Formats: sequence, C-alpha cells, structure tokens
Amino acid sequence: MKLIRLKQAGLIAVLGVLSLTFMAQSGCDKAKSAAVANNRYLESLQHFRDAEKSEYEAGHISDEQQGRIIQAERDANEAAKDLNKAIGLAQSGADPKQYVDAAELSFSQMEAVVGKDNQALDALVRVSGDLLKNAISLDQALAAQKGGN
Amino acid sequence: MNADQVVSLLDTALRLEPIAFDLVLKFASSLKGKSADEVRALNDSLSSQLDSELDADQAELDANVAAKKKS
Repeated sequence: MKLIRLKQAGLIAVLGVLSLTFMAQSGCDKAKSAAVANNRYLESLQHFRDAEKSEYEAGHISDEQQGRIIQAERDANEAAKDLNKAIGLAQSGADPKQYVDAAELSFSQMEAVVGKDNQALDALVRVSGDLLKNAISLDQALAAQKGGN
Repeated sequence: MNADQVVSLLDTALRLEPIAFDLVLKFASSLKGKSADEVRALNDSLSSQLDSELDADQAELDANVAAKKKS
C-alpha cells in the first residue's frame, strides 16, 4: 500500500514537471516558469536534507559519509543560487550561461558523492536532478526569447 | 541488483515515503499571484534557510564525532 502511494507520488511529481514545461511552451511568463521550476528544485533539496538527516539519526549513514553528504548538499544549494542569478540575468536580456554552467557543475558534485553512499538517497537525488534540468531548460528558453527580442 | 539489495532498497523507500509524499503536497501548493521577482526572492530565502540547516547539521556531526573520540 505504501509502495503504491510512493509510485503515485512519483507520478504526480512527473506530472508537475510536465505541466511546468507545458506552461513555458504555451507562452506563459517564461521568467516565472523558470523561477517556479527552481523553487521546486529547492523544495526537493529541502526534502532530501530531511530524508538524509533521518537516515543519519537512524544510524544508516556513517559520520564520514555524513560529512561528505553535507558538503554535497551545500554544492546542490549553490546550484540553486547560481540558477536564480541566471534567471535574473536572462530576464534582463544578459547571457546567463556562466551561472547555468556553475549550477550544473555544483549539482554533478552532489550526484558523485551521494550515489556511492545510499541507493534510496540516490533516487531522491535523481528527482532533484530532473527538476534542476527542467529549471535550466526553462531558463535557457527565457534567455533565447530575450536574446531574440 | 540481487534480491537482498532489492529488499534493502524497498525498506529504505518505505522509511522515506512520508517525506516523498510531503514533497508532492508541496508541489501542489501554488505560487499563483506571485511575480517572477517575488518567486526569485522566495528562492533566495529558501537557499539561506537551507544554508542555516546545513550549518546546524555540520555542528551536530562535529559534536557526535567529538563525543565518540572522548569515549
């Protein structure tokens, strides 16, 4: 029963990503779509942190792993900050590429650390990664639109 | 993936399920009525909050490691 709810939760999250993409492609405010997508990414990081903390407190993660994961979470949070800056730049017509590249690099550092430590947490990281990619693609669509104006 | 790994993965997934479900509820919450700049400001605030929580997690880890060294 719980597994079915988890599958439903995953399905709803995917539908959320698809609806955000549809909003962007159907002419809704692209800047807001990108900002909302980054907000979803940040929410997923917050939940990752909550999940990871309970795993650590339950003794499923060693102190050494915990130190590496905290640093990885900081990197992933930096990705969100970089992307927020990129969206602001794209809104004003400037090139957000340097911040998008920085966001991708920060997040890849998190993927490299967490995947080795815990399979379930790795699954959560993949959800965050998909949300980050979605936010980046919306930011790039915004930059292309502003660049074309 | 062997059977033990599958069982272990399912066990962890069930432990994390309430957190995943709460995440979906958050996704359903609306940012309607907020401008792009307002959502970006909210994002900055969420990032700062996460920074503070990670500082607290690091302090807790340091304290745990120190306590284990003492004992």
